[in-house]
Amino acid sequence: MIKGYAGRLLEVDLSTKKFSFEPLDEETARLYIGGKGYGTRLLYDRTEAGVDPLGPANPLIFSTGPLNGSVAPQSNRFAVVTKSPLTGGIGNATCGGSFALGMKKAGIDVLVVSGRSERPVRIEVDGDGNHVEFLDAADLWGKGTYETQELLGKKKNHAVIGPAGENEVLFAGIVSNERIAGRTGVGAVMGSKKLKAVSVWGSRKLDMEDEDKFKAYTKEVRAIFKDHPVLGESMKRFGTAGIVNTTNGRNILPTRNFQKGHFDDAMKISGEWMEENDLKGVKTSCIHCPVTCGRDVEVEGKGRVKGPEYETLALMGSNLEIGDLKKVSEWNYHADDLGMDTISLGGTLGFAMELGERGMLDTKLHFGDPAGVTELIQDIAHRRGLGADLADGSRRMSEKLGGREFAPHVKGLELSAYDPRGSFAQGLEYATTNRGGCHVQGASMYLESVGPLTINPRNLKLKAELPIVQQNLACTINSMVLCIFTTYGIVPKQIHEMDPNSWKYRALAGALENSGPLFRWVQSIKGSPLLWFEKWLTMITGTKFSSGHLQEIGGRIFNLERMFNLREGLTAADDNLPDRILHEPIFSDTTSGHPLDQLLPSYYKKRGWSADGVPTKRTLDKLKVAV
Amino acid sequence: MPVHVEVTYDMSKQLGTHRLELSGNTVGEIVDAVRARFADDPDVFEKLTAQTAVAVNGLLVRHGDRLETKLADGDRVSFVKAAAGG
Ligand code: SF4
Repeated sequence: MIKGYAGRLLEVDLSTKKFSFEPLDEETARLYIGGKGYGTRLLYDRTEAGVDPLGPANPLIFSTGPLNGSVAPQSNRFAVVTKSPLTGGIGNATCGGSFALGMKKAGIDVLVVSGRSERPVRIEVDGDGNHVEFLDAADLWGKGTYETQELLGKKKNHAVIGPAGENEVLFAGIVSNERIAGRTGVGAVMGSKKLKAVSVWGSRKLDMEDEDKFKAYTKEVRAIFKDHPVLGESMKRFGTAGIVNTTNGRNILPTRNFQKGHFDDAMKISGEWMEENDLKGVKTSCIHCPVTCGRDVEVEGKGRVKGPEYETLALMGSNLEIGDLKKVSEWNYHADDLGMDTISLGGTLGFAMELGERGMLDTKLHFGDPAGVTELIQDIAHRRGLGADLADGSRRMSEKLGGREFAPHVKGLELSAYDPRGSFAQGLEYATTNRGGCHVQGASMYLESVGPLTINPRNLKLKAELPIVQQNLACTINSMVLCIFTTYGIVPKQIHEMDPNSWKYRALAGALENSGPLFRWVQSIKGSPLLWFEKWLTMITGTKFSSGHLQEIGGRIFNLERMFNLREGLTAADDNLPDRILHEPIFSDTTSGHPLDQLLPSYYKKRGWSADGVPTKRTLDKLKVAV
Repeated sequence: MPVHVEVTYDMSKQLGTHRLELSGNTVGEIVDAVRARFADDPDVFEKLTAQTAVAVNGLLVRHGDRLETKLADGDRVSFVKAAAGG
């Protein structure tokens, strides 16, 4: 087996309560790395078209990559892959916490859970003893994710669901420690299998090709991160919440169900406010990560709990016009404990508020008014009353109640917190990303709106190249499995230190806008590894990886996801944005929104797809995507 | 021309507020009006704005660049940090 992998896959069938350890397929690991990539390959091969996402035949795949189990910063996340009950297409999410480390210590790269238990069940995997136990979980059913993990004990590493997953809320997530694999309803799939928790432990060690080199180099990278203005300063000081004021100033902070991009009270939900005021953030991090982007905050009656991140502050703060950090923190706590994605939750709540204000839904919810929201969050998780409708997400609500033109989703997945009308490449990414409206499957907004050197976010230059490179890179990052924030470090300190008002800076930003050839070059470099994640991958596996390799593997994963979606009946018509985003202006200098129709043809072409968004045989052959 | 001005958090700590109502016909005049609030210690203003840009109604205007950018009644001028992660 190539180094970096435990070399084993664990199959668990909840219907028969049988398990088996199988060898990991080396060729698949070479072609798809691990994490999301390996999981996608398995999902594609093991399902028939039209598989019911909440049925026993839909596998729930937990997958790690070759960097997991190492001490590299930002390297201990796992991926979950399944067919999404929310979108009907590819479903996946990644998560920090300690579960990835536990899997690797147990000597498992991939855990495939299939079937469905009659009664609530949990599984324990003791990697050292090569043992899997199926245990009754009736006493845990109905409990929150925090209490469940506490009852299961701190020594093992757990992935659990809360009531939202049990009740198959379509945007339920899977929680490990205080982190969540939030998106696409992976928790609902776990709940449909009556699987409350997976616990893993062991004492195996990651086998690397060149451990001494890896250790020495990792020290260097830690120093680079420490010195980096975003990873070592801004994110360390304010967490991801440090971005609120920037997106607000750039008019792309979702406000009032995406009716506006600016919120007058944004400062009061910002990371700066969190740091300075009564919530006093205490820094927390995923294992081995020096960035410490997490924050603990004080929530009444709960004590210190995980603080809200940027996406939550935007979708449950400005998007609902709530400028109250305590309220958002409280909602974030409940959402995590119930096991729900706060992006989809906030998007759906905002949509419900607008429906209510238009008289299309009988509700007392109002923008700017927190009344009723706490109770409704509980009702959603338990599918009670109005909560039952919201539990199905904004797309299904719009199909039932109307309001499709302002339902804030792509392919059924609620948009994350960068309004694409002020970030055109990000909008194209939302539209074309296989799992739907998401920014961590490609983060073009960093080079458009929030990074140190931004290209013009509202012209058509570089808008096809940038998303392709970003999406491909995100596919490989999510397959190693690293934290996507590691890519922020690519922009060197020297650029951050440039005065944004200087001529040099303007010249560089202008050059970047015209750097299509540079982006094509990045896709083709097959020489020596340059960036830390390429070097780590090389030092661990013993195979040389450079940006071109990662682009090729990422493109392979992306195209396979696309083929999965096409097989499930999604088409080019699903590469879309809400009408509101396309047509309603939020900038005073324009009468329209996002120019998606002008961007898609060039994107398809550069992807090697037909005019109706289908990968050509030539493209699939070139990328070695077997379908 | 009355405009709404939003400053960064670090600037607001000095000014005691993060939102100001100021008058000016161009971005340059607004930048000068904010600078005037730091008259006692101009270095502080330079330090606090070294890594910021200015946006008018959400559109970036590098303030050393297009100080002559015209403003309209009720425009929003925001000082934004040049880089943040989220
Ligand atoms: S940057 Fe934040 S989310 Fe990413 S690994 Fe570090 S602590 Fe976890």
